[in-house]
Amino acid sequence: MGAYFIRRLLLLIPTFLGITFLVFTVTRFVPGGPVDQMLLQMQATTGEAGGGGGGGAASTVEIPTEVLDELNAHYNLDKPFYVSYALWMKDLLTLNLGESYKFNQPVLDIIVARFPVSIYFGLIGFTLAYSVCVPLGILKAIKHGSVFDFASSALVFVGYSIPGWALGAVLLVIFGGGSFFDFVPLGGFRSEGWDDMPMWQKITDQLHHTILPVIAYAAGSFATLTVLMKNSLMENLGQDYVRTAFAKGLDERRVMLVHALRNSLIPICTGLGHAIGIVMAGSYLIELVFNIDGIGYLGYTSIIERDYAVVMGILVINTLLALVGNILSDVLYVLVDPRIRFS
Amino acid sequence: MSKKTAPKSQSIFQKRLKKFKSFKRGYYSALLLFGAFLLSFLNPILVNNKALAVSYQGEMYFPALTTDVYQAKDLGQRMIGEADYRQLADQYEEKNEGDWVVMPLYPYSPIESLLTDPKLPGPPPHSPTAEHWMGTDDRGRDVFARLVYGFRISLAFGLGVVTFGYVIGMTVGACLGYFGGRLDIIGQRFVEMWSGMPFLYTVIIISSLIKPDFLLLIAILAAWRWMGISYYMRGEFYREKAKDYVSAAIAQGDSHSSIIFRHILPNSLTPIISFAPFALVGAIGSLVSLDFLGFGLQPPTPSWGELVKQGLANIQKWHLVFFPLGALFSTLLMVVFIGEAVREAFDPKVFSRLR
Amino acid sequence: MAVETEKGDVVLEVKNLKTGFSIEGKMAWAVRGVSFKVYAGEILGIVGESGSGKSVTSLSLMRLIPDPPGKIAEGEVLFKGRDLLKLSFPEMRKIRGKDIAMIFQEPMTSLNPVFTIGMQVMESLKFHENLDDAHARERAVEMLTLVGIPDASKRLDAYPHQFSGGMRQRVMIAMALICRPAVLIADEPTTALDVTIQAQILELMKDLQRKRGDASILLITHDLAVVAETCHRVIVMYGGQIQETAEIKDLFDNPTHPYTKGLLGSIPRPEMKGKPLTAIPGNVPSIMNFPKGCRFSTRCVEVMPHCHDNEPALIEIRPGHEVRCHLFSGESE
Repeated sequence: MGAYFIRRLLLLIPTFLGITFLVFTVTRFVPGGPVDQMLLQMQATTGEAGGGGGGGAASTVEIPTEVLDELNAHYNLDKPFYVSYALWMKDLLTLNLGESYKFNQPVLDIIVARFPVSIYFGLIGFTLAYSVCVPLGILKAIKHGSVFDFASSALVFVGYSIPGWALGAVLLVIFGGGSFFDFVPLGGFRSEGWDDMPMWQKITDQLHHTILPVIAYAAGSFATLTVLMKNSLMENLGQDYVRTAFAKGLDERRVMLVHALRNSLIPICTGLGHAIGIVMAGSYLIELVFNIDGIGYLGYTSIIERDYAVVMGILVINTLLALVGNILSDVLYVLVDPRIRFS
Repeated sequence: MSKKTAPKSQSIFQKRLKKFKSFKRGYYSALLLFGAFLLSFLNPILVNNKALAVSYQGEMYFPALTTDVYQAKDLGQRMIGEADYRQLADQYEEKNEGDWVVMPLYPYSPIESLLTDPKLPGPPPHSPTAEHWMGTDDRGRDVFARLVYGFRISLAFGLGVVTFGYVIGMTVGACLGYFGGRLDIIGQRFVEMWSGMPFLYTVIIISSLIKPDFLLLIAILAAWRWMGISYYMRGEFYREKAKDYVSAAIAQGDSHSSIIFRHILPNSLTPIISFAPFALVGAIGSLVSLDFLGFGLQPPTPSWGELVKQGLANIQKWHLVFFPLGALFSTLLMVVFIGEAVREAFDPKVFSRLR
Repeated sequence: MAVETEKGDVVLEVKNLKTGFSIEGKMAWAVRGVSFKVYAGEILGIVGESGSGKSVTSLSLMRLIPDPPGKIAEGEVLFKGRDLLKLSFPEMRKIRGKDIAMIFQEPMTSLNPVFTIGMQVMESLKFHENLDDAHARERAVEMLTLVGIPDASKRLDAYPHQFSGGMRQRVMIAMALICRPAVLIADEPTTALDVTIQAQILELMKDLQRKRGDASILLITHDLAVVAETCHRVIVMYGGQIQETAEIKDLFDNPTHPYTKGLLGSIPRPEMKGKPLTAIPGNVPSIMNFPKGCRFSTRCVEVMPHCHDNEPALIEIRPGHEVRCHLFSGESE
């Protein structure tokens, strides 16, 4: 058992290296990197000051070579590829994710500052999803074929046919002060001047800002989770051990909710492990729709602005979370299935 | 002695088809979707700002059906550049000289800017009107036209991603499952590595750097979507390889490719077919998400995601969000219904109830 | 607690049982008019090929037929004066596991993999007899030891996959007998086990039954050798019907029905060394395609013309020996 996990952890390393190497390559070999951005910026300002002959916008302004060299050295762009990758990895291991050229702060600080917001929404959405979907799936299995089953299936279809963020967008238009109602604010985490509000208002304000994003988060897994739960339970109900349980004279409730359910929860539990990725990293689509300044939003803007240090930093974190999620799933699987635990 | 003749047995495929048809929701969705898709190839005839036929001074012109661009002055219009057929129609009618214009059913194009249309006062985006069923977007382009063209693009895109992804995924999965051993261990690591990459994020990064066109975008998306089917394929091949009929084929001296294609593959169809509709939903969903973020198809390609983006920026204009998302929802819903029916036909879950 | 019955009493009587399954809109009858009695203190075997309806019969007695798609359409199953088929399910549940118990063919899948065997064995006790934990544990250990599981009190906390096939079947038996039922239905209990283990399990079952003089076992199997080993009486089924019933010695000494003779003839025996085995020609038709008239007519080597038109009735040709065949329709002892 222990050996299995040590092996899995060790296998993490080549996978991690592989991914980061790939992305590092992509970002390095393409124009528009941090130095180019800086150059463009510089050119823009000097151009305005009336330099260069001939009319028009981007004229090539002479940048002193020393400045260029310094910039390149600073970003490790003057060294051979492998060396800069190795240097970057070394920094990584000391938790130095570089510096954001846009914010002029260490990348790690920028990311960590946004963790709470992403985790806040992710966690609530995740809890909501699981606490609704698991009982719903069970109920659908018990009442398979009933009106309830059909009605809830309709909801499930909706959840599956429209991406979470899109649902959020629709709800926002309806309820967010568009042409219809004005229940919820347009987005953001808290209103301006939240700190000065009385306690009661603080709570309602926070809630107002939380409702729609959380629905959007939950909607994503709503459909798949419910169907998974229902199918898992129904499949188990056809197993031999259920027949044995009935043969012992046990009643339907006990057979379904004790014998069959315990087995059907196994695939659900293993999904929990992967959920950690969403919880931590936030979804940039949802954060974009609702103007939430979380990690997802940061990731998105940093790509547009070519802030590579941040891009790489977020990528690293996302990757790590995904890999950790995999291992977590395995751990949960072991804990939950005695066939694996004692073998 | 009477003997009952056995009923003509149907092949398994026929039985499944019959079962599929018995699921009204899925069957009608399939017909509707397929019909709409085929119809969408007639888009240039149905929704276009170019006339179907113009008769000017005895000569016939067919602007919508050819790639010829007719200058305004060639058709008697006092304008510079290409003819404005809608205006031309009004003009001919006024003049009443025997010239006529036949316009498509919905005479607006997805990429023309209607800023100068006298029927649309004020700045774009405009709310729906009688002529513009779904209003215009923030650049004055007709939303309905963009929606209709966007439908074909989205669906074609989705199908392309699924096909591409399937080819890669099936190959990889089959090889790993069939050959097993070291290849499988290494291959699995590779698959794990590849799926560890945050999908959307990486695609956005790539997309921001090389601004892909339609086909390239399909390739990129497919490159990240093939893992799903490969897992299924690998599982199937592993399982089937252990079965006796494969050992028999090997003993007979069949080549690997023969065994894979003639023997195992036909038996592994179930997950392939039942997974496809859901892969399609995922692909179309990804496209819309990418377009929404601005990293999908390049403008001025009509795309649903881009309309939603505008919608959020103009929250008073509900039509920019509702219509494209409504279209997305309906399309995906139909695919889901199809998927459900397919799964029931190919992989029926018989739920027996004991008490 | 099981009501005391005298050895020799009828403990279970099945009358004209008819069970079918709805396949693609049509009803396929797996059991067509089966009637028999089970006496206290006997081991009754039901033997037949796959598709004969023997398993469906046993499941019907316990009303464990999945509905849908199955349905027990007709008949009576009288147990201590009550027709089990007419009971409500809550009442039926009081009988299952307590008065009539059942064990199945595949011990691995028949036990719940995520619960300890202790929990599963004690469950019936707690449910039927309302015992508390301590007492239930005691009885469980006792029972497990009785069925031959070494170190029983430790093994209570083990999981099914930690046992071997034979051990699991012993656990199943313990689980079934712990409430001391009057009838044990064993549906192919040894088919999935090795031959040596098979012998052990059968021996165990005989032993336990002997210890409790009035308990009965209904043993379902396709293996005549198993029947010869274990049973007092035998029912031979084919095509959803009983074709022959007899005491064990009588059946093997005087097999009457052509099907029985065919079955016996296909068992290799040392005295037949050098001679070819006789096989019954043809295959068992699917439930939907059984012939009119005698169900066995298409494969019978002694078939007569009117076998294809009329179904023979079950007739007693000797005390305790019944047969369903036109060859004997007119005969009487």
